[in-house]
Amino acid sequence: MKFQDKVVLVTGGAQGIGKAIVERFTEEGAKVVIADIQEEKGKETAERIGANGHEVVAIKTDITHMNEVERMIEFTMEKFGRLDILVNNAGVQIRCPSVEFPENDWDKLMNINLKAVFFVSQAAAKVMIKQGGGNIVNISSMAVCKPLPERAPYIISKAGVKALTEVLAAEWAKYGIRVNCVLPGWIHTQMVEDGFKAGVISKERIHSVTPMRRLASTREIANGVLFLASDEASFVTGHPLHIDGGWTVSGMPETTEK
Amino acid sequence: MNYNFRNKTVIITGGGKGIGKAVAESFAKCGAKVVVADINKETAEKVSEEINNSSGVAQAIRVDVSQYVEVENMVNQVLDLYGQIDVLVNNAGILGFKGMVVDHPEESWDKVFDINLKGTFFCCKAVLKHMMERKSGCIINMGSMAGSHGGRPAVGVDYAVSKAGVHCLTKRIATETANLGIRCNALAPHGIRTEMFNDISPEFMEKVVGLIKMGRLAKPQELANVVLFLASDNASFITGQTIHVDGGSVYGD
Repeated sequence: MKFQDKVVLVTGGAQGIGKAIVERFTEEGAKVVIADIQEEKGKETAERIGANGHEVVAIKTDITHMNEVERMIEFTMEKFGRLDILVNNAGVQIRCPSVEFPENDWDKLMNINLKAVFFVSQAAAKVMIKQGGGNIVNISSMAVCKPLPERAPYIISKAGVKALTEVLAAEWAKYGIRVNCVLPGWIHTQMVEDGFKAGVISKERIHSVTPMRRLASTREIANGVLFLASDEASFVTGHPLHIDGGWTVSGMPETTEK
Repeated sequence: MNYNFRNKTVIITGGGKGIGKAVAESFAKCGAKVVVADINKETAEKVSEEINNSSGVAQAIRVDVSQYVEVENMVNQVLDLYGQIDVLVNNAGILGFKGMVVDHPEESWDKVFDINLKGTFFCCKAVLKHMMERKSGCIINMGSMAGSHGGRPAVGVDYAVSKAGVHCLTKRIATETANLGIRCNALAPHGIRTEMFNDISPEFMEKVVGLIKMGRLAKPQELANVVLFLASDNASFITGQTIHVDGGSVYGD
């Protein structure tokens, strides 16, 4: 058990990649707090995973509100007495041509995807510094390297997360806090599956630009998060770990059809 | 270390000391059959013997990776011995002349490239034939942070440029083999305490440590841990990548 008795906080842990991260940590012996804006889903996920004998609790949190962020950290300390690992997984996507993108959607997206990642990290670091160390893993995106059209604010926010990761790693290394991020490629989530069915995204196109010719499972992304949070990565900090089936090194794709 | 590499065969070039030795020992502890390949037969045999005496399975093979005939022979020997090759760790590498480009001797450039880059290329080429037939395999190359930053002044230009080549080679191999069940990744270490850097003065070492955010050098085991992760199923969607193992190094703030 790599994470026996470690306390992990996962934002957006109720579904998708976040849920897979929670599952993997509990499989390795960790105690997990799911912080999610979706109260029911968060509770449901915590109960289901907890039914396997794992210690998982949920707290409804809007990470764009500082008082809720502080409450989330307090809750973690009350339940488990410490905070070893923070995973900044919560994030949203808003797809719209840049020439039409509304200002209030920009603010909404930036507040969740970037501002909250900074301030949640800040709140966690205060605890981790007192503890003598800790670990933060952020979820960026491979889209930072391969700009996908009509998703400019998303990509900008994720590029921000990558830069944030590097500077916080530099600042907090002296406190024994390692900070890294993962840059996932295309992942087979329910949202993506819905996108295929609605014809908004093309499975064939994704396969053609991904050298491994498939999408990742959420578990494969979670495995990368766990590695960065583990002692096996003890000399790795400020690193952007691409988990993308080779997409960012693919060169010319097999097909150029959109 | 809780990976399971039982029934896997792993070749480590430059496995006689430093990072290579730590990698060989780590794979052996996880159940792999380990081939300790090195130009120095004695050090390879010593590492191999220690592994065998600790209930591991290892075989030493002498090889000069800059000679394709020797590399091909090594691969054939391993296939005869163990029937398969699952993981190749291209760790063999040398430092050359250390100084300014204007003073840099051609002989150093040729020798360093022959081993660091051509040797990596030769080993990849030789095992890929087997791996592509099996539609399974994993290659891990040893790059360096110097490959991204030019390496001044700690290492020579040939070392830095050869390692930059290793990173590019890693990407190319990854794209050619990703849909054949093969992954290829690299490490870019910096600040690792091994025999290769024994000549460095304590004053310079202090300067190096001062520029590492974590404030210390890495132990070879910390590099080996990353190699094992990349070789494991936990890295199943990771290919073409270079992992920075550098304690948060940034040359200058």
